[in-house]
Amino acid sequence: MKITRITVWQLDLPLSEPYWLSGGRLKFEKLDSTFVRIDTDEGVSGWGEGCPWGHTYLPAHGPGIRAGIETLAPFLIGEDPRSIEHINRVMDVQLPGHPYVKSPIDMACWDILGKVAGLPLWQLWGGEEAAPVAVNSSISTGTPEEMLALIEKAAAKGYTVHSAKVGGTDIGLDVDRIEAISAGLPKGHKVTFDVNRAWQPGVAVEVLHSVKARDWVEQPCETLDQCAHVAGRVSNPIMLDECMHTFGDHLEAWKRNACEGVKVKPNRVGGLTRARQIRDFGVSVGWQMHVEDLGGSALADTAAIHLAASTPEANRLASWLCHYHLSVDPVPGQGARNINGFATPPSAPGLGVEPDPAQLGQEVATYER
Amino acid sequence: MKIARIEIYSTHLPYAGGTYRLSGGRSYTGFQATFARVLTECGLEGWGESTPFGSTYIAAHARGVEAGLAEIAPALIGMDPRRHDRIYDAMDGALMGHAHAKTPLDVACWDIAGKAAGMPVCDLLGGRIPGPVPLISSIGSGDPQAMRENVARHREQGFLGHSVKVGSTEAEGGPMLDAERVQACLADRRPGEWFLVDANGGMSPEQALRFLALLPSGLDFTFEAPCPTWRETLSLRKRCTVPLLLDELVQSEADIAQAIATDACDGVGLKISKQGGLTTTRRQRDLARASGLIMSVQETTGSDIAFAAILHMAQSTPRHLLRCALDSRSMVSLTTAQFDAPVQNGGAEAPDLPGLGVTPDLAVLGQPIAIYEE
Repeated sequence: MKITRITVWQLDLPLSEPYWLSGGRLKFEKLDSTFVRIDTDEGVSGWGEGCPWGHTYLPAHGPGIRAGIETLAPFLIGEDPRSIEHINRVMDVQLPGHPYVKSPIDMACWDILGKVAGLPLWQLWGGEEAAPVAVNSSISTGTPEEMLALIEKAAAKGYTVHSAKVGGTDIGLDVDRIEAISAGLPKGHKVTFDVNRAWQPGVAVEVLHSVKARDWVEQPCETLDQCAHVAGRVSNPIMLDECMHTFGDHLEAWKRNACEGVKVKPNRVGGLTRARQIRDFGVSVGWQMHVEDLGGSALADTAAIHLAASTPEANRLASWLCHYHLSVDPVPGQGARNINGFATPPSAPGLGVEPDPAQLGQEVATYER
Repeated sequence: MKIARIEIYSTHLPYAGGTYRLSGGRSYTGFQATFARVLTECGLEGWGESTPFGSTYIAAHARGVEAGLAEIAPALIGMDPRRHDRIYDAMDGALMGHAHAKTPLDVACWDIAGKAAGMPVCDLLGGRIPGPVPLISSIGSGDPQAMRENVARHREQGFLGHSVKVGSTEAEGGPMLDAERVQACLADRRPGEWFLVDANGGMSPEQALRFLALLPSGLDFTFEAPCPTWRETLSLRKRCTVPLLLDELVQSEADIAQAIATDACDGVGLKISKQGGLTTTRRQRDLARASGLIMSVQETTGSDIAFAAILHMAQSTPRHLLRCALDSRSMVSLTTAQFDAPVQNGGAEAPDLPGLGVTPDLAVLGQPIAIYEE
């Protein structure tokens, strides 16, 4: 089987409500998503999506995906999309770095492999069943009262796991937020306090030594060095996200006891192949993980939910769904959707999401031999 | 002073020597160059260049430069180009990472600042150290005897520094062939010459150790970029006595800090577009200086405008730590600007003109591929 054509679409995905990163540092109103379809000489096609969170959250941006695919496409045409490790090696040789460019290509290849094998991705990745995965809420930063009100609202929709964004310039307010939310959480619910790098190590130690709460704290500081320092000094379990790019970063974090869990985001680490490698490592060292993508429609979300559903329950916390926060739905009704706080991956072969090109607007590029 | 308009140009630069070969079977016949022309309301203009070494050398490619510039350039309109760190903050705020896309704008702003002050850029970067900067040759890997002859040709031209490329695959000859290459290139070594043996991150620690074990004692060289990752480099570092210089692994201030903290190397290769422009290269140079790391100041590749940025940085770098600079002009067969810094006895000196001292040839650069303005 050979790749004969790669078609690329660009889609703006407006958020239903503007999103502010912790501390009100950055505002996001829409996302720039890239859809990719890979066609083969045997008539099977696969779909992928790459959607960075704006251009200031990670070293990744939408136009960069399209520029990268233009550089990579000539080296992918003619290759066998089922040889996914080989495809990844080709991409790594032809364009070092740029993991966010490779993710949609890798995703489309997995879709093809699943279709050819007649298996859903959750099963290809070792899962026993199409397990429903808890959906993580996303609680925008605000006063403690405002944030608790948002949690109540989410709870009414079935959410039991929450990601509360903290990390401002006022240390006292962060202490108040954490204490109030931890104490006021509905019975049986769980929360992660996501700092999105906002704290200096000293601030992290000050805040976390001032609170009684022992809930998860995510990405307290900018770098792995800083987070490792904090992890050695506080009692809260630490989850890492933005500072983790390569498999080597995960090895380093484990070696230095820098965390008890990680966020596994395919677009950040370079695709589902790399994400699965990290997931497997996490399982073997006892990490607990949030498996979700950086952003995107229900297509990208569904790919991540396949990986989450195939992860042992003990190692899987919850998955945030980006599409739930969009005012458009380019794959109407398809894929893993939030039903009472849980999302279940499809059991059709491959990703189980088949976009209709008519919903994607104009193609921006086609590569073929 | 305010930036009023930014024009982007793109040109193909053919490699001057036919085909350039790197470790791992990578080869190159030309490079796509991107230029930024920054114009101010008061009528000054500055130029900068970013030319990645194809798409397979580091995480940089020409299409990525263009895509990145489209995010970044609009954010600079209306800013004062002389406030380099504030310009850089605005670029980081517009797009995280992607240092190679920020470089042409950053360099163009330094060009303007120099013109506004009536001073050459090297004087703004800390002050000219008089005298020609030694230039380094680039000896592509190949047959050992041919490489020895290539070194001799550069020696005749006055070059005192030679960068010898190694890192052949096991199928090509592996460590045995690389050891022969190094012995051939150093066979006629003269006093005052400095040799880099550059694997471009192409060896595993196992290959590097085998390669070093095959060399006779007494060969004087610095080993550059032996391995692709920090872990492999630190593993090798513990087990070898040859001085190490890191290049591809060091791309930011944090990387330099890590190299110093882990004592990973004795020197660094600073490449203007790899480090992200003159603003960030200067920060990294000063960290390297404080730690006693030797430096070679280079570029991924590029034409006259890229070389101008290299030369001004090198011209202001303390000589006891500066080993050499790369004349990127010698790698490409197209002249994109007039830049009065001739190679004499293997060295070159930055001209005493305001700014970079370049006059780009608009007939060569053609029409802008993008224009950003208010």
